[in-house]
Amino acid sequence: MSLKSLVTIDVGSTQTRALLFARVEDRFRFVAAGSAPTHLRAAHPDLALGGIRALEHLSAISGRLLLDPQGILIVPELSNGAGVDACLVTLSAAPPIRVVLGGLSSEWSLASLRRAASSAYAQVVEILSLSPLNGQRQTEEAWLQALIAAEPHLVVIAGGIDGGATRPVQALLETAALAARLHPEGERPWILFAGNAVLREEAVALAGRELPLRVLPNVRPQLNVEQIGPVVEAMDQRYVERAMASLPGIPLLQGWARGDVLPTARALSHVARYLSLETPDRGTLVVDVGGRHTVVTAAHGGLLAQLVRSESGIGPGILSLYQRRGYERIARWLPHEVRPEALEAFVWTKAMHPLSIPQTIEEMWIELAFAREALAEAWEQLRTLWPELGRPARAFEPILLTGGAFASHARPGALALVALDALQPVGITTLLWDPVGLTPGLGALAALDALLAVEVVNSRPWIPLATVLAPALDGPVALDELLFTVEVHHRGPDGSESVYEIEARGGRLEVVPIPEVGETELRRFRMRRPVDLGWGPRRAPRRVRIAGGLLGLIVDGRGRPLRLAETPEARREQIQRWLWDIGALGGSL
Amino acid sequence: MMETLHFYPEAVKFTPLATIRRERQLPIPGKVLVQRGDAVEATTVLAIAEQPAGVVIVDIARALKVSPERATAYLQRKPGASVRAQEVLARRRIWLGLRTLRARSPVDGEIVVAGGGKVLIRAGARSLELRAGFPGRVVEVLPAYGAVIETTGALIQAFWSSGADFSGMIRIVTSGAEPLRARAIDPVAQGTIVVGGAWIEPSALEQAERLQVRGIIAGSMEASLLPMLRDLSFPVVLTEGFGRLPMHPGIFRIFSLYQGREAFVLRPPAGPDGWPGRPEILIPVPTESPPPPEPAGEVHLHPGVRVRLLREPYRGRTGTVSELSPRPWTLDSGLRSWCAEIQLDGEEGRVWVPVYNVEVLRS
Repeated sequence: MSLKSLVTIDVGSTQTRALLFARVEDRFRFVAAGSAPTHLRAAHPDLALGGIRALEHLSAISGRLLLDPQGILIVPELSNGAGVDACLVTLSAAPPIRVVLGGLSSEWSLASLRRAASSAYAQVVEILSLSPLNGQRQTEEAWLQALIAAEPHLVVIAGGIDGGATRPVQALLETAALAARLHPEGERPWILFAGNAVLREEAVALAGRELPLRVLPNVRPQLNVEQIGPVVEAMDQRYVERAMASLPGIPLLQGWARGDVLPTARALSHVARYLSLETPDRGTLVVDVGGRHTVVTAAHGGLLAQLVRSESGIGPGILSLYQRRGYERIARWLPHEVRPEALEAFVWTKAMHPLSIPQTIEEMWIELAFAREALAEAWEQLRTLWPELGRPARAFEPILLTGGAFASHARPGALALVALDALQPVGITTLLWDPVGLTPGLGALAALDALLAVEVVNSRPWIPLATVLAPALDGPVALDELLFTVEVHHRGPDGSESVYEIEARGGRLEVVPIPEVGETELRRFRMRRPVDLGWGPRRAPRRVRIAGGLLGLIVDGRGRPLRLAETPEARREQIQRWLWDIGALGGSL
Repeated sequence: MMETLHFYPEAVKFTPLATIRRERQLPIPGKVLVQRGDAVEATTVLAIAEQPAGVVIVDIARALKVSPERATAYLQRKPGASVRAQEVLARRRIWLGLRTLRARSPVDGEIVVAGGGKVLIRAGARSLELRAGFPGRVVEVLPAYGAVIETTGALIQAFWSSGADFSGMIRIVTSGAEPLRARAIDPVAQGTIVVGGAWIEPSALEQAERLQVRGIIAGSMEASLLPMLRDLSFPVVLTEGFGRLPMHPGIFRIFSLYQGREAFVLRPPAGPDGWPGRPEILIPVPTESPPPPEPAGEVHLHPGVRVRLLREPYRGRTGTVSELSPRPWTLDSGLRSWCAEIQLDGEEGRVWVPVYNVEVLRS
């Protein structure tokens, strides 16, 4: 029977969000969102309490009774409209699992395992390799010592194409099995074997009944074939299992859920895949900057590339992010001067009180500077792991912005600028905005019922933030130098037409409001420099239809890569100018 | 009509007298050495556990020249047995018994695992001791892990600590909310916990190191001094945060009240997200009848609740909640949030702040 209503609970590192989806006027769509602190750092942590309070908040906002007097979720929906037909839970609050990767070659099996680990909430704590690492060959004893010191939750062994090398892979497996036996039963790491298929039976025999071994399809059955999906799935399962054991309250929420708790990153990848079906030739980018993790997911054709960067975000992850990126990289994005001591005090305050939010505009700029660095770092790492994404990055369509850093804001231009600065898209693309954090819930729904998810996606649950036109330049340009002109043709629903010309200038952001109703096209591009708008230097189609959005059309004439002024004073002036251009300074929208 | 929403901010406790209970646990299972009712000192070992210090791998299949599957049949010692260096682990006769191949242990230790043609020997173990951390009485034994200890006295939850558990006599060296400078720390401070009512100046750290104090407790410190702390022989505890914030007057009063008494600083174990909890300062005070237990449970934000403000432009200020906003408001930052009106302490008037930017003060 088709669902009439559903709640999703996304348990994040600082906030737990509850979302209500329901059939309204024959369409299944997003209805309302509520949130509450996750209750992870309390004297007696209880994540179920965070979930219950988020549901109470959702009840208050939506007017629908969701909890019975005992605080239990009402399932299924009652005839009086109380409760929901199903509940889904996504999770990113748990710390990443500790993972050891073992393989033969850093170019093949280990490269695939690294990509798999990057797609999950996993921290690679050790790498065992047959090929020399850092110029040194590892012995079996060194592998063993490393495995013991690493205290992994999961060990993945791969290597050898199907029918290829066996002996070195055997040695890795034997060592992993030995090390696992050192732990008492019940505390042993999972061992995943995803190598040469010839060794599967041997792996099973080696593990016996005492070791938690899983045999998976080879990550590299042939040199030119990669299948990391099963390894990612097993890592997800281990992550959830650890969370169930270590996070109080998660088992209760799991008890309410239909199906298993889904890692939030997996939910995001479902959404990325769905969106990419609409634009198969362009692909989709979903970026999530949260409290403790930053997740970037690119889906293009059959490729799904995902980077889960843990200890990175604007909550508990801000301290590690600052330690990695440093004062200069953060301060370069600020329109005002901030001393290192003041920035460090900010970082510590935020890390110790991750729920707290900027009250002043100055602190908002600091938080968004961290969001830029978190996103830029993850984006860079994603492109290093998946070089096929290209450099400069292809112009994905659309780019979806979600996560705590992109929460509801009165100056959406400031958020658009975070995405443009960190991702530096080239060509023409659309920015979609998820101010209430519904994307993980929608991803969980996609895993449960694909048709319902499509229905919600078709109801356009995200806010179109802007259409971005960002040319690649052939070299540095002077500030205000004319790059190209283009005519914006708008036809209103009443048939009225308006035409105006805009000028794209070097070092500038031009924002052109586009009416929400009617049709808008860009026509008559006139190139004044050999700029590339994604169709090749000086080339452009006769007409391009655009959607606009909350901000309208943003023409980003700053060039790629973005060049920041060298002196701090000039840089601050530059940032102020861009914030002003995009409408983030002065009165809010 | 929207139901009333409740907000439950984090709470920080400081109380001059309460009955305090703390769980003390090993990170791994071990053996508990105390019993319910035992009186313990801070140094009393509550429980011990052994962690493997190192492991040696011996390839017996290779030494015996057999396949890994057959190797275990030749083992002379089984898992769990202790072995001495050069002791024979496995032996195989060849050439009709004329010659014997042997695999020997290279170290003293214990055989933990044998399989896949190899033997693992745990060479020595590291002993892990769990100490009480503060004097009190065992009120509950946590089998295999530790115990719950109870004491009476003052409790102060701080913001941050640079080191492990420590203790010492309280010595206040500033007259109130003034920065801690070198000249405030005289030779009498040697071996004591120096308490300052505001932030720490770099010179104070140098002077404290010269005089070998047990530790420093102050309101705050510039984060730029963090690298300097690594070279110090004593820990530093901050009650308010980083930057230049005075110690809360209520906390300073507790220290003043117990000047000369022994204080015990505990660093709680990491929570489920791996983040360490707040350091706690316990000052045991014997009482004839047990005082009430420390404040527990959550407090929702409502008029009359005492709070500390966490973010600029009011960071470090304290006050009392006078009202909650009827709906989320747009802040200067552009974010939208439910807000609370706070009557600031002193003559500073009323301000509105996001409900997420306060912590409840419980004393």
